[in-house]
Parts: sequence; structure tokens; C-alpha cells
Amino acid sequence: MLTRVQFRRNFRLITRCLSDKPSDGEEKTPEIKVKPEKKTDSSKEKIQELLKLMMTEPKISESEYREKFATAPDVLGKRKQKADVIEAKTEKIEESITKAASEVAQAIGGDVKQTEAELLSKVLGKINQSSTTLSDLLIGMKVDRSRDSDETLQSETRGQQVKRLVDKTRQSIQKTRFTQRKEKPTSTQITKKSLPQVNKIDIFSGEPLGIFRAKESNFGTKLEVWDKLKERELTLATTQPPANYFQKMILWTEQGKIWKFPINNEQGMEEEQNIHFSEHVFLDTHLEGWCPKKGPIRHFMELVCVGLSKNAFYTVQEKKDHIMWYKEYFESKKDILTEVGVWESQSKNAETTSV
Amino acid sequence: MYSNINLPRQWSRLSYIYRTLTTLEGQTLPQSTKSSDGISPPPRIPRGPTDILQALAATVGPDPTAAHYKYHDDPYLIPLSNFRKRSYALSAEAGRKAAAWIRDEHAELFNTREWDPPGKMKTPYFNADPHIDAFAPKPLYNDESKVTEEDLKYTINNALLEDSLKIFQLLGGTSGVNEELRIAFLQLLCFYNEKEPDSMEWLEERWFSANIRERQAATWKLGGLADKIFESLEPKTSEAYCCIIQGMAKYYQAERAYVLTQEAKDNGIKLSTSVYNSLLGCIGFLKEGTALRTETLKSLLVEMEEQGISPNNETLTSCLRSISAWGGGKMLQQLALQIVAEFKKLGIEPGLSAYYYLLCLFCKERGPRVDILSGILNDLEKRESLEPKEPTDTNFFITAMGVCSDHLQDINLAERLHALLMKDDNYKLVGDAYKESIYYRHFVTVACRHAPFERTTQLLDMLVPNVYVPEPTVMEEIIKTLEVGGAGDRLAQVWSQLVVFGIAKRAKLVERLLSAMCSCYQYQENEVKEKMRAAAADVLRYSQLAEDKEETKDLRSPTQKLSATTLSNIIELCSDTQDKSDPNWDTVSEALQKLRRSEAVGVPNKPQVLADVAQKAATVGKAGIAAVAVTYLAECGFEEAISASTQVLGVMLNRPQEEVKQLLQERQGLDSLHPSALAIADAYHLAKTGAPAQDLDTSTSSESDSESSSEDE
Repeated sequence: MLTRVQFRRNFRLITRCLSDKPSDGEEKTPEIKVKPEKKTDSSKEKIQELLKLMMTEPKISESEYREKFATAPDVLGKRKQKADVIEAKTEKIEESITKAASEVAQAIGGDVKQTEAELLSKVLGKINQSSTTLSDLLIGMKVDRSRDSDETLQSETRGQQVKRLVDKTRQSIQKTRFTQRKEKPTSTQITKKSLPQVNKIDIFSGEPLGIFRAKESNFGTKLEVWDKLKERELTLATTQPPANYFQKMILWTEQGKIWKFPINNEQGMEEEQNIHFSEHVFLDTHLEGWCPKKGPIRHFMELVCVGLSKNAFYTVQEKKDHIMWYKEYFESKKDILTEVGVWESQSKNAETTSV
Repeated sequence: MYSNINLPRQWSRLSYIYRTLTTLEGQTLPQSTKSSDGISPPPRIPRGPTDILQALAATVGPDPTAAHYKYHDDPYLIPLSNFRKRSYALSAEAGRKAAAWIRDEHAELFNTREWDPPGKMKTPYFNADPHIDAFAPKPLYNDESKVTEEDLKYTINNALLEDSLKIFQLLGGTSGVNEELRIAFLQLLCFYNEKEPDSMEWLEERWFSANIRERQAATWKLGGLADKIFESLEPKTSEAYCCIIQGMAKYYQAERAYVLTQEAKDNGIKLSTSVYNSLLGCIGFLKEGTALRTETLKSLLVEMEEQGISPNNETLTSCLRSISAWGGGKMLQQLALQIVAEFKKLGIEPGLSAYYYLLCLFCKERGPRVDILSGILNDLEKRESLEPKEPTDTNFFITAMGVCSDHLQDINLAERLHALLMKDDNYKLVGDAYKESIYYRHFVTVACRHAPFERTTQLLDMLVPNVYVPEPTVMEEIIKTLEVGGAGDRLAQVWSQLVVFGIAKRAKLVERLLSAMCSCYQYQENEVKEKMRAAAADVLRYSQLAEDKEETKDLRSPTQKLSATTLSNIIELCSDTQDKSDPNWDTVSEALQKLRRSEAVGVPNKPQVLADVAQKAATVGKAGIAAVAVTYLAECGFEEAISASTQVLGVMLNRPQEEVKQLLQERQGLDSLHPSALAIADAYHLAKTGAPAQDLDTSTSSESDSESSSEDE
């Protein structure tokens, strides 16, 4: 990337040199004629080197360059040629003017070079580099003497101040930033209103490119997460803070914060959805096999079952676990229970059933 | 007034309800269940969880006379300025965020079921039944947490990028995660360029965040984790290629994206429409110059056709996006129209984003005026609904309104556009608070400049202040319109609006308002005149208050002082009374004192006003006020001072003017006069000779300072 940039910069330099080459060289000639001895040797050498560099073939051919980089269309090239013609003409004029100027200067006498340079600078609008004396530089300058010094400001009365200010604002009323800003829209308005009718464009007026032919759609590989994220960004871009309570409820429903309509008591209890209610209600079956058929323990356990059957919050598994916890508890206290005589019958029963 | 405004809206609302109901009806199951006995219960209509809510919400239209729903909890605190609206809404959001923070930090406090015995606590925060994900504390991941691939899946699905990065590291990087999950993770990384996206939860924050346009530069993280994961995938599936190319193209790493596309094609891997869409979107970063870019665009489209991949809506949008980014010019505009036509032929209608880019391309700020918008509106109005398809769709309305206001200056188009935005629930396409306010800025500006006066005021009544609070520039536009319309009543109201909107400290705006009031004061009814006087007096009081506040508190930015012109306008308005006991005289004298103490900026532009006031005051019998006014005029060096002083003195002494003049010139018998008359005599001499008769104590160096500073403005 970086190398490419540098490469391109080089190219720009070379191309600029190429395009500038003819005019540059021609422009130099008159000046050299006028004052060849003033040029230092090193600068001359430099120019010569530069010219040589221009003469050598560029490292990449024009066609290759065009392929790689954007170039201006060919029309510009023609324009450049025209410019060359004009420059050639002006160059001739320059030459004759220089000659005439030097003749005039010699006729006048005195500091020949100085006069000539002054004449030329007037005509060609160039400042001669050889005559850089301070007075020459100062000739064209104007010193602004209109501004009042601070002392005068302080000595004047308030009345005079105000008058001056009022006059000044009257003069420069158009120049202040505020009025400029104020006037800008109105002025553009007027100019725009005076413009001819806007040209209307029909969006569907274009000529089709004719690339695609309609056929069954095939969108290629699908990226699931990507599409989901795209969807997310879209909703993010179009959601607004809710504008009434219903919208708030919609938002909360979508975020999963409130009950969904239509109201369903068992919402969010999907775990239990496939379980028949009888399993919740008839829990006596879980007493079979370990609980005594009668007696206080049986009585207690039946009450536990009734209680559990009315519990709407436990899952079936939790209810079973609850009963099993009692089973384990009673079995751990088996010794005492048999002593008291409340467990005996159960074990006998168990024996008989097992037999 | 209220009913007038409401009626059209009611209609659209009714039609909307009707539409939703019919669509709901449209969901009915086959009607074939006709029993033989003639009684047939209607078949059950399955409803989604929010269908009923949506139908109900559709009955509540927007009410411009009420504050937005989020503000109405506390009527006393309903915010009316832009700044307060923003801070109010964000404060509420901050409260919600604080609650969420506590929930996340102290998750152990939120895990009991009410019916559980206290001793029975199960796993942390999975105890409540039914389990509500939205209320569950967010899992926190750090270096010690034990994570599984399930956690990674969860974070990917919820777009929690930072967390997923952490989990990915904990799982052992590229080697510890299976391929399928790695591709999913790669998609997340590519989509967001490894930056945490905005949260879905905090709507207000998003609404008020002035999100700048995304930077159009190659921001793709080269050599980042995404690149590493892509390299680790072996063999590289088409998903992997699609994903990485789309990511690179999305963040303008065009060259790498093209290289990878070429690689994929060489390996015979099938790409997708989205890949081509993203490639089309970054052509500008690959090639330079219109000709080369156009060529590339066309060749890409041809390539799609060759590969048998069909274009979709986004293909059109990305083409136009690219073209609009390349500048303007006939060539590109032609190309854009050609592309639109091409897709139209395929049955793909341009979406809002496509139209947005077309507007960008055709309606240049300094280009010729092109009316492409009316065609677009014709097309959009024909559509049944405007479904948002891409996030950039939200740019359409603001841009289109900008075109109406600056480019075409057409109020009719603006009204049509606004009607379209208000239709159904299109309002969600307005984007965010920033875009909304720019949209209304354009709308109000174009209405002020080009709409009939009645229409403009109606619009202002509807929008301001609940829907939109005008910015200072728009306020100036409104004041101008009201001045031209001669609505003194409303101008007086504007002052109170300025105060409420928090822009009353802008001296320029206040000056503009008062000069507008003065210019249409003459032909107002008495009642209105009174209101305007009250408003003018209030301006002075307010500025006094602001200055006092500045003195007591150390404010960062100094309050702007009222200009002398503003003060003289206040004086003009307030002095319009024949009653000596009118409290407005106090205001007049206050303003005059302010002028005299040179606490105002500049000098009044209409000194004649002060002369008139002096005379009026003298007539009423307020000699002191008259004296101050004339003295000020004389000190400022206005020519009006001479005539004013003689006239005023004439009124005060009840003598003809010639006599007064003579008296003044002779300077005799003046010492016996009333002090205020004496002051006027002094002023006369000051004006006449440029120097005071006795001593001058006013012109000090501090005054000249204030004068020069006024020049700088």
C-alpha cells in the first residue's frame, strides 16, 4: 500500500515534468539572454540535470500507466496542444519585448540593467530577481495611514466616538458578518427564483443496462448469524421510545418482560406442558410399595399428598422428590417406628406382597 | 383549534385501524366449515402476542398538544427545551441502567421464589419460575469463569461481542472451538469489526446519541482475530469466504476483499448475493476515476449474472451508494438511472435507501436544480406500506426534506413528504432525535419562507414545542415570518417561547425580535399592544436577572449584553402610554439608566425614538426620564439632541420654543430651574458645542473600551 503511494507520487512528478517540459524550456530562454552572467553555476547545472531527466524514457509506458491509474480523458490532451501554440506565440512576443526594452535602456543610459529590468517587470508583470534592493521592494507598497492611533481615540469625547462609530457602521454595513449571513439566503433565493424552471427527471426513464436476465432466484450461500445481526441493526435503527402505554407493552412483550397475549396461566412453564394433570393430582401411587396401608404414617402421608396435589408451583418431579424425602426419613427412623408398632404391619405387608 | 388540527389526523387513524383490522381478518382460516344446520361458528383466528396491543396502539394517534409519553409522568416537570428534553429522558434511562447494574452486581439477591421456604435455595438465579430471561442477571465472564460452548452460542446470539471474545479465549482460542461455532463467531466479528455494538436495551441512549455518520475509510482490523480465525478454518468453506469478504468490504478493506474473492472463484467456491453487494459497495476504494469505477461496477454485475447469482434489493442500493459517493456529473446520473431501470425490469423496486442515494447524486448543493423528488414521491405514495429494509432507510426523509427546503424550495413537496412520514407507522423511519430535529428544521424553514402565513402558523402551533423545539436560526426565520405577517400577538408569545426554550440569552435573537415587534406595533389592537409592551418590559427584567446571576455565580460563558438598539426598542414600546402611573415608565427609566451607564452594546440606530420618548415623558410629567433621555442623546452626539432639548424644555416650562431657545442661549436665570430642566439645558450645550456647559463626568476610558469591543462583534 505504502509503496504504491510512493510509486504513484513519483509518477506524478514525472508526468508533471513531461507536461511542463516544452513551455518551461522556452520560458527560460529570454531570461537567460537578458542576464546570463547572473545565474550561478550550480543552479544552471540543476536545470540541465532536470532537463536530461525529462528527456529519458519513463519507466512505465503510457498505456500501462493508463491501465493502472485513472487518467484524464483524451480531450485534455488536445487542449494542452492548443495551449502550447498560444505559449509559443507569447514567447515570440516576449522575445521582441525584451529586445526592445534593452534597446530603450541603452538609449537612456545610466544603469542599463536596472532600467531594463524595471521596464520588463512593468510589461511582463515579473519581478526581476537580480534587482532585489530594498527600495525596489518598497516601491509597490502602500502604507495604510488611515487608521487612527490609540492616543487620538482616547482624547476624543464620547459624542465624537459615537459619531465616528455610526458613520463607520453606515459605510461598512454590508461588510459585517451578521448582515452577510442574513443576506445570503435572500440573495440566493432571488437568484434561484429568477432561474428557469427546474428540470424534472423521471427516475424510471433510464435505458436498462441489459445485464441480468430474469430467472429463478439464487442468492448463494446463506450466513445465518450475519443475517440475524443485520436484522438486529435494522430494528435498532427503526425503534423509537414508545409513544403510548400500548407501545410500551408491545416493547416489553417483545423483550419478554411481560405476559404474552392471549393470557395463559401456564406461560413460561413449557417444562410441564406435556404432563397430564392427573400426574399432578393423584399422587397416592407414589406411596405404594413402602407406606403402611393404615395407621398414623399412612394418614400423614395421605395428607401430604393432598397438600401437594393442590400446589400449583411444583413440578411433578419436585412433588415426587418431596414424597421420597419422607420415605427416606421414615426408613431412617425404622427402628423406633417398629418398636412403637406403626411400621410393622407395613413390612409384613411388604413381605406378603413380595411373596 | 385543537379539533381543527386533529380532524385530519383522526381520519388517517381511522383508516389505519380499518387497515389493520382487515389484515387481521385476512388471516382467517379457510371459510369452508359450513355446517348443514346453518349455524357455523367462525373459525378461530390465531393472533400473535402483540396483535391486540398493536390494534389498540393504533387507536392512539400522536397528539402534538401533549408532551411525549416518556415525559408525562410529572406534569410539573414537562421539559420544553431541547436540552431539558434530552437530560430528562436520559436521566430516566440512567435510573433504569442503575437498576440493571444492581441486578447484575448482586445477582444473589434475586433468586428466591416466594413460595419456597427460606432454607430452600437452589442454583443462583435460576430459581424463579417461570424463568424470565429479560429479568435474569446478565452472566458475567472473567478469567476464572468456567465456560462452555453453550455460553459462546448465547453471547453470539445476543451480539455480546466483548463477552464472546473472552469466552473464546477461555475455550482455548481457535483450537478449542468446533468449526460450526467458529464460523458463527467469525460472522459476529466480521459484522461488527470486533467492536461492541449498541445495546438493544437502552432505547433512549440510542435515540439521543448523535451518531455521526460512519467513517468512510478502511477501518477493517488487518491481522485481527477475524483474520486468524479465517486462516484456522481448514478446508475453507464457502461460508467462511463469504463471511470474511463481506466483513472486509463492509469496512472498506477493498483490496483484500477482492483478492479473496478471486481466490474463492479460483477454488470453485460459490459466493452469494450479499458478497457481491458488499463488493459493489466498496468499488470506490479499489479504483480511481469514474471511468474505471463504472467499468468495474458493470463487470461485477456481469460476473453475478455469469455465476447465476440473482440480485436483490440491496444490490441496487449498493450500486447507487457507490455511484453517489463518486461525485456528480451527467455520466454518473445517467448510469444511476440505467441501473434503476435495469432492476425495475427485474421487478426490484428501489427502496428508501436507493432513493436516498439518488437524491444525494442528483441534488447537489451548488449544482443545477433538479426535481427528482416529485417522481420519487409519486412512486412512494403509490406503495401500500414503506417497510424499512436497511438501516440507511432512515436517511431518506431528512435528506428529502433538506432537498425540499434548500434545493427545490417547494412547500407543496414538503407537505406531501410530511404526509407520507405521518402515514401509518412510517414515523419510525425518522431515525433518531438528531435526524428528527434536522428534519423539522428543514420543514419549518421551508414553511416560513414559502408557505402561506396561515398554514405556517398552523404548522408551528402543531409542532412547537412538543414535537420540535426550534433552534436559534429557525427561530429567527420564524420571527421574520411573523413580522411580515404582522402577528403582534404571536411575536409577544415568541418572547416567552425564547425563555422556555432556553435561548433567550442570545442577544442577536432578542434584538431581532424586538425590532420585529417595533415594526409591526403601530397597527396592532390595543389588547395586543399591551401584551407586546409586557413582553418588552420582561425582556429587560430577564436580562437584569441574568446579569445578577452572573455576578453571584461564576459562570463559564459571560451572558451577552443587550444591544443599545434593543434597549431603545424596549423604550419605544414601553413608553406608549398616556398614564403617568403606568408601571412601564419604570421600565423606560431603567432602560435609559442602562443606556446611560453604557451597559449596552453599541448605540441605538434610531435616536429619534429617544427624542420622542423624552417629549412624551415631559408631557406626562416624568421630567427625570426626559432629562436622562436628552442627556444621553447629547452625550452620544446625535443631532437630535438639540431639537429634542429645546422641545422638551418648552414642554416643561410651558413656553414657546423661540423663547426657550433664547433663554438657553443667554444662560441666565437657568440656576433657578428644576434640576431636571437644568440637566436638559446642560445637554443642549453639550450637543451644541461638543463640550458640556460645566463639567463632564461620563466619558471615561472604560466606555471607550466597551465601544471598541462592540466593534469586534
